[in-house]
Amino acid sequence: MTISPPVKINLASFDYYVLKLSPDVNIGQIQDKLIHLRKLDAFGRYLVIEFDGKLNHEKQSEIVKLLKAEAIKLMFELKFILANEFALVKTIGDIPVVELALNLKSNPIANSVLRIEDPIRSGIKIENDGDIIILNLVSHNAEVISGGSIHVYGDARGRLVAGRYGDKSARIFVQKFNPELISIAGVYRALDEKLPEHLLNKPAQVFLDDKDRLNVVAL
Amino acid sequence: MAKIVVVTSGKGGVGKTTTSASFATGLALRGYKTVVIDFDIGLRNLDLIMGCERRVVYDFVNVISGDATLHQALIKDKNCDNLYILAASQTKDKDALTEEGVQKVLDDLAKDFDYIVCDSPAGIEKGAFMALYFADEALVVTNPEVSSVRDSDRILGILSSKSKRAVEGKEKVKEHLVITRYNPDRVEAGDMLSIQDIQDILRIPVLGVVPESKDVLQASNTGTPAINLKGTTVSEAYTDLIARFLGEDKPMRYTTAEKKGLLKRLFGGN
Ligand SMILES: Nc1ncnc2c1ncn2[C@@H]1O[C@H](COP(=O)(O)OP(=O)(O)OP(=O)(O)O)[C@@H](O)[C@H]1O
Ligand SMILES: [Mg+2]
Repeated sequence: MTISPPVKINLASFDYYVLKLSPDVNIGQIQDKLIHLRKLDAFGRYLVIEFDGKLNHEKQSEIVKLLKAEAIKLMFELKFILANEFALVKTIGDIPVVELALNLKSNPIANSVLRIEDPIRSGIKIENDGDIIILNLVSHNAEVISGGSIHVYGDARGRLVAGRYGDKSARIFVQKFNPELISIAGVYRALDEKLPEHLLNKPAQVFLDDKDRLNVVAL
Repeated sequence: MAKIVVVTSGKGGVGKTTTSASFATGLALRGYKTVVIDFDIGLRNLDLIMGCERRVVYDFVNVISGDATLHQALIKDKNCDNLYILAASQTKDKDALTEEGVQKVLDDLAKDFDYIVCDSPAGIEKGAFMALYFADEALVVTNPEVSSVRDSDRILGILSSKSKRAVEGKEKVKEHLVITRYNPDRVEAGDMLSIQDIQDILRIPVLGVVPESKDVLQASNTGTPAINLKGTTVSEAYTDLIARFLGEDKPMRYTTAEKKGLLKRLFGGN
């Protein structure tokens, strides 16, 4: 994923669902997925669409039209839609599609470590320019955003964003790994499918390799 | 000095008002002078459940706006000497709940009462925010299903970041989990989250588990807080909850599926 042009959306300020769309996706699957998402949470959220690189422009338009119609039926609060770099459409009806990118500021400021002992609850966002150490749980739909590395000594179920200013050497260390999203230096991955046994709720670390790919390995 | 306890949840219809009514009644029965306030402006439910809807002349908003005194607006419970109700208004104007206005009413009540119970509306908007803002303790009401538990998590986040105690950097709001409409048979069948599942997600102590029961409907139809329906499981569960709240040690009841006899198991029959 490219991280330039930079500042598009500050990922951190939004609640969102990730919808992965494969080339052969059909309306039934979209409906099922939305109904499932709707059940998970009673509050309004945004949608992030993960388009597949193989989807052409027409197919994408078709999908987003469907999506809009279905979302309205299910009373999703669609303010705008974030999408990945394969997105070819710029609007869905009157709703803009915005590329998902991290807020990459140029000058990382001096980094003091932030240590937190309380649980990070759903809807809460924790930010620090330096490392963040959390000695408790990070709930679903909570966000931890660090200029450096993130350490979670508890269940990590929320979104973990390390190296927010572009530090590729930042890492994520987790005691019980099950986050919704991980990101290092703007490279992100939504983990919306069940994790393999050797990682699920196990100690793990996340780092970028020399090709800027995210790696998750058991510790 | 009175303790302010908010009954909150995020999700609607999980049993906040039912719990507020029984919790306030239970505290009063234990000898504490208690007032329960309905923060659900525009809906007014608590007075129905408490069976005093016909005696509502002035309400919470009237007191805040200075149209009535607290003395005029407080309704004494029909069964219980120590218990008072402050009803919600039926006006649609949610902005009537100002921070200063609510603070003033709570300060005045605090002089006379041991406990102030705030029945929160659903959601995370103004009414819900005002109900939890001044709280010392919180009963977070949850049903054994994912959406309800997630919303409770969200409310816990608001308690720990936006309540008066959090904003002023004081000792944090004491959190209690109340699981209502618990149906052990359905939990066992895998249709509902178990107490363990819920605790695993929220990680706060469980104050009480109230079973799903038709008695609750009957209680609200007759304008009686469920805790007053003596001998029912719901009444017992709320009584235990009060005891735990007051520091007593009570094992959880009504949390396991009834064991079926051998014959029943062999020949079915649910
Ligand atoms: N333990 C229980 N068993 C069965 N039904 C229950 C139980 N507790 C509550 N109910 C029912 O659930 C419904 C909602 O309860 P209640 O009004 O207390 O919820 P609430 O959280 O205050 O709702 P709202 O968000 O609308 O204010 C009512 O019909 C009530 O009778
Ligand atoms: Mg209610």
